[in-house]
Amino acid sequence: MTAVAENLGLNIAIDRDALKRRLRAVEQKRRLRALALVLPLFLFILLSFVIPIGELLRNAVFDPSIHANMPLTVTALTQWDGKDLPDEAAYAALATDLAAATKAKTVALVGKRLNYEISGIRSKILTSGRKAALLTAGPYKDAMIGIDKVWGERDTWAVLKRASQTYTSFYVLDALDLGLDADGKLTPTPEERAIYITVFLRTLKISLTVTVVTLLLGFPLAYLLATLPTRTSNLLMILVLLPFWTSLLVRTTAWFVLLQDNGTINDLLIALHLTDHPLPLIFSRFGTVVAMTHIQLPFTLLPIYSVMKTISPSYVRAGRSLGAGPFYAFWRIYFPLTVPGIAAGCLLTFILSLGYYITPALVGGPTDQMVSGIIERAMNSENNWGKASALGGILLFATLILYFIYNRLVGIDKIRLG
Amino acid sequence: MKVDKKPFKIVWDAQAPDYDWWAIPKGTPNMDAAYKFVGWASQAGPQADQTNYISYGPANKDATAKISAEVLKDLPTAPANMTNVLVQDQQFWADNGEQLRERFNAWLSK
Repeated sequence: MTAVAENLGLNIAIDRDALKRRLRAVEQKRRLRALALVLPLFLFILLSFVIPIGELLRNAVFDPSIHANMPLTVTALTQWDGKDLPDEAAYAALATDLAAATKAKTVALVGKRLNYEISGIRSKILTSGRKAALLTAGPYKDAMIGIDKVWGERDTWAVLKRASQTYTSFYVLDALDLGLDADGKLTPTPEERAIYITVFLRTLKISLTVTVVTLLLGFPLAYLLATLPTRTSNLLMILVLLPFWTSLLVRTTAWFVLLQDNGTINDLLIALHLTDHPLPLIFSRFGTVVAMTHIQLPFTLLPIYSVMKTISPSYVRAGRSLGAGPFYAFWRIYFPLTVPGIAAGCLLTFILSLGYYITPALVGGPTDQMVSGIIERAMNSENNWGKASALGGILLFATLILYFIYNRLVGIDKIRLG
Repeated sequence: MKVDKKPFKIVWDAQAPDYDWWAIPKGTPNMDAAYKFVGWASQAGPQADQTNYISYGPANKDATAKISAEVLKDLPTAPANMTNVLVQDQQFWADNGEQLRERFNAWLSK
């Protein structure tokens, strides 16, 4: 008996080890399969998201235009102490570099870079380059100052020296309405030109307004959709999703027709004698918020609707049966259960609204331009990638900071989309 | 306007002309053909012929002689229409455009 029992015990022990090995092999295979399924998505996110944004942040601080195109001047300026004017050797290097850059057709890049800091110097650099190519021998200092007075100013050389570094703080500071003066001290941009902080705050304000308005409009609508019988609610859902079937530009243009001075809404108001002259609905903050709300409403509504659908009506009924008034039952039982959906919808709408630029450009007024419009113009019209990247990077960081504050208040693990 | 017989007339005084350019991309394999085309398109004959299809003023001054008076009076480069021309200073705008735009936007925001 004992021998059989001992034998049985040994078999079980052996089986246990073999079982553990097989279990480990199966787990390993499962893990590899999961990794293989996630890998395409991971690569996609890496290539389309992480790497481009990394490039964008790098472009905001990296500008080799002076370092690459004026190498001798850059080296010569390392000796300069920043007071008065540089010595003859620096001017000789300047003349050589400008002549070489003119020949290689890269002098325009130098002009463009310096023009960001000293407005109007661009054409002077092009002319200096052309004339420097004709100089054969020194003394270069007098020759260069003779070609253009700007080379006799300490400011120009200070800017040139600062721009010689490949990693620069110029674009980021400029996007925050700050600058460095000739002594390297931080100074605010002159008020007549300082727009970026205003535009950032304006973008946040408009996005917040649109989020709140879509929430106020969307919550009752979601409640209606969630509590009506399926057939009616499906029909209403189609009407809510109808705007998605047309392009964003078409919808914005439709608001044009409605809101303009002799458009439908104003005609109706005048016909009803509610006003005797047309109200300025279009080209104003009102127009922008209305058009953006119309576009963003489904984004806020759908997560709230999905979460509401999962709330069993028996909870509120139980509260009512225990004596709670209708509003009290709603506020203490129903509303806290919908908070995950509200959090998801509001976050989605807020972040999407930060990126709007076509709608404010079409139906907004002169004080409605959002930061994305400036970024678009810097990229497409001005070819100023440093400024566009700096503005984009600051917007990204502002969004991340707001996201972390949001996390503190609501909790990311509480967000649900359905 | 002419085809639809609308009662409008173009005022040529203080006209602000816009320009077009031919551009050859750097490093193109068809450099010779591109140059030949631009050379041909800049000749008086083709430039004058173009005005039969659209009233763009020819860049080649010799083309003006080849255009009929009927078409000529609607072109921006007709001598009669060129008495007061507002020429855009591209150099100025390249130098100062960005800063002026920032100032303008700052002023708009007030």
